[in-house]
Amino acid sequence: MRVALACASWLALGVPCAAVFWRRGRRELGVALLPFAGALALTLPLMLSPWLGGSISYWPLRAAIAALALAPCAQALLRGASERAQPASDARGWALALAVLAAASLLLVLAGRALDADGWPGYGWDGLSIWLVRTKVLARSHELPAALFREPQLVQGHWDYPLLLPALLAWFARVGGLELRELALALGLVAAGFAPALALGLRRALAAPAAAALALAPFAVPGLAVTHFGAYADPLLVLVALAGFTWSAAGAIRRDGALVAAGALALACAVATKNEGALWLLAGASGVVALSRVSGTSLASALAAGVRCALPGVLVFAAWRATCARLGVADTLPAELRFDLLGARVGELVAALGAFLAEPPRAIALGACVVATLALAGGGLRTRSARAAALLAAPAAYVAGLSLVYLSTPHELAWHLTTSLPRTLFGLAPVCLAAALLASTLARANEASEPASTRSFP
Amino acid sequence: MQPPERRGSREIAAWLLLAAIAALAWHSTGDLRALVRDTAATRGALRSDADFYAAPPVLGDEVAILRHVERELAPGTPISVEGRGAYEERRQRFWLALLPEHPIAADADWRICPAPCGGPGDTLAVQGRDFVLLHRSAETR
Repeated sequence: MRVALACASWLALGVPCAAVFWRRGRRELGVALLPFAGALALTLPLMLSPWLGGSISYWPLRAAIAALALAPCAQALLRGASERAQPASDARGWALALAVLAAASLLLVLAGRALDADGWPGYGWDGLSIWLVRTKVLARSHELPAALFREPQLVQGHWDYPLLLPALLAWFARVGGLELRELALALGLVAAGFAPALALGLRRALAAPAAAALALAPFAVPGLAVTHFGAYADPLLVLVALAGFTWSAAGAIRRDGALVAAGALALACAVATKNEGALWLLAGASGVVALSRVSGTSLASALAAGVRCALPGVLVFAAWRATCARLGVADTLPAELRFDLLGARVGELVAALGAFLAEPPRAIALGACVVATLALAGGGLRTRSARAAALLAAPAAYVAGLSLVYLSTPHELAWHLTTSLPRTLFGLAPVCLAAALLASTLARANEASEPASTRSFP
Repeated sequence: MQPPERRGSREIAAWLLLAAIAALAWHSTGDLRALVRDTAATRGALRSDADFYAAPPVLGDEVAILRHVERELAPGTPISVEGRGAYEERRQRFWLALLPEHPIAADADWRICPAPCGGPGDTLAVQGRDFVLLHRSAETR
């Protein structure tokens, strides 16, 4: 019963933000945003607490205030946004697709319930060393313990990592009464909350089965589900970043400002989940600019759309980095990067990336997505290539950014690649699938739109 | 506007894609199902978080140190937790067991470290399998 209350209150915290979209007649986006806005409302008071005296007492009250504060932010994002989205008509198809997703969500919750049944829950290294440590700290403390953030003995605890996953789990611990060993159930509920929301947000942009396929795609990536239940943050990052990219890209293609705004909020969640979320934010925003341009929008309007998409995430990123600086986090992001080794490491990185991506299942999945993107983009060779390039700009930008991080890692590159590459690239195939699914939408939108000179984008 | 037959074939393709992704997701989550099966043998063994900390992947045989800390040290007493290389994993598990009730601090009077460790005059409070809990003497502080 208490777990249901924790789940309901998490989603209820998203209502003020969702109501802004409902009032604009976008009920599907309002419902889809509930887990995202709720998670932000839970996380922001913790992230900002060092600026407000450090206390995290009365967390529910502070979260409610943050939830109310998110509504005007959403309103500002929607200001001037165009609305060309047509209501979806395929009610039967959507009912069936959502039933498939509901079944998948139920399986995730059942897996969590099975793992938390007084047995070993299957937590992995990062879960036990990073995410569950701060979950316990947030669940049991009355203030954010600033000393822990700068304690040299805790450097490997990566206290500069953002707080969205620990905040969600700590909420289930505090409100839901779950103990540490029982948080597998919370992990199941978190995945079950975000995955169907991703599809629902695409109700006016994609056909029902395509949207449902995209929402299920992360779980088709080998190792993602078991890593999620290991209490790692990478799978959650994939879920929120995929929603952010797909919603904002579909919004850019369809000149649907509300969908771009929803994508922007999802990308802010990505930034609040892991440091790599900042890379997904840059990738998503560059994808919006590229897709706006290829849809015939002026450069100024395309850039404005990109800024609109990136703004919430940039604010969250800046707030968390400022908080880390204030707390004196021992291992801040750019502190020990080895830019002097960039050149020397290129060969090693290219070889490792090549070997990883050339493994048959990955090569087939990525190759199929790229070929499908090209095939479905429509138009002549040049148009087709330009559209495919715009659709694949985001995953390409993410891989480029990630490569730069690896090249400048303060750790031994081989060790860093071995321990993290499969996780940091969990999202690549799902995002490429999103590009393929949006390709025909882009082709149809361009064919149906009026001459380029009359187009405008919010 | 697309012709209806083209729309129909697109719709069929989309449903086939959903079926394929669902099948692939079922296949890819085989490791999760295996984990559920493998951990079924431990079901009923961890009835509280105290049992969870004593499980081998967390503290295992070092749990005697945690029990001593919980029994003898007042909440809020800082503890230094040391150990590198082969001891790194266990060192990090102590964070999970001790925080936030006992802050981790390098300069704390109490010290958990892999034996043999400690300096002249340090007092051994309790011994785990590889780690010990010491109270630092004035000399080693």
